Amino acid sequence: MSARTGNILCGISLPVRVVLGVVFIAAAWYKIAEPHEFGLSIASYEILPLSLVNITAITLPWMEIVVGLTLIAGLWTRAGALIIGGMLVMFMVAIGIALSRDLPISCGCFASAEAGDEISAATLWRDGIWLAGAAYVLFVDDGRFGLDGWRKRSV
Amino acid sequence: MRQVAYIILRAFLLLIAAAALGLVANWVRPGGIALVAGEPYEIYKDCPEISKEASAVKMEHLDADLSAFSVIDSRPVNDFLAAHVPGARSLPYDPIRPMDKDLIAKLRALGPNRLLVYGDKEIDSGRLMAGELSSAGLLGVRYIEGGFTAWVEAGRPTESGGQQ
Repeated sequence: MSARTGNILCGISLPVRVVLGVVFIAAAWYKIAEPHEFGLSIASYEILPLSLVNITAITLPWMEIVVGLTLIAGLWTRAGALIIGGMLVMFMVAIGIALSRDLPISCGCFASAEAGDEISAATLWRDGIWLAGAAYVLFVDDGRFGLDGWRKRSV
Repeated sequence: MRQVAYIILRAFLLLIAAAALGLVANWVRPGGIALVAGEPYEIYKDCPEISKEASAVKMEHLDADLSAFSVIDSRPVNDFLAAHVPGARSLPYDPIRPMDKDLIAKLRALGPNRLLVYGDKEIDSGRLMAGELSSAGLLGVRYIEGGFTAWVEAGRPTESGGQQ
């Protein structure tokens, strides 16, 4: 890949990873503010055993924040994209299972159960689009427009 | 290959660091939650769907001898203990929660045309419970129209206390 092509591909990746980072940080906000509500959202999927619900509610939002920050900053960019991709696959599987069971539940993605945001095929499509963005960053972005590139240049 | 291993290692480190951050933040903050939930979460569920009405039985058409039936009292336990149809079994019905599947299976095992349900007049829980059982595929479920109130007004005998 020529330097020019690499610049173009990574230039496209820059807004993608910033959007993904902002989305994941925004998604973490209510989950950190209202851990019990987020626990309820997780429990309502009826997938995880009760013993794992709270620990997931405690740690998952911080993973979203940390990974969101790494993507925006372009630090360990591909590792961040890998985690976000993995999370999105996990969310899509959970939503798919809930839809197949006809569970009338809120997504729990950005707001508590009371706020609505009921899961639907559109939720899966939305996550699918973000997954495509994460895959693009993972396979294309070498971090040249971020802290990864700055570190390489300064070495 | 080495680069892939680096990416996976870094991802792993990020996850560990973020999880540790979350645990510390939860421990420090006021309003943090327990690592393991002590009680199950109260998950919202739709009211049970009653797609099939059970057969209503008017008091005047009800035989004095109910030995052919398994009589179910769907009212709250305290109402059952105060007074109920002789020989009835208490199975309180909550109209906003689906019935337990194991319980439905046990009632199904009694066979068709064996269940006679009654409830209270106001909520008509007998009709609702019989409807849910019919919707679940149980055959010949009946309920007493007017519930326990109609039973008493018809001058039928009652008993109090008893097994739930």
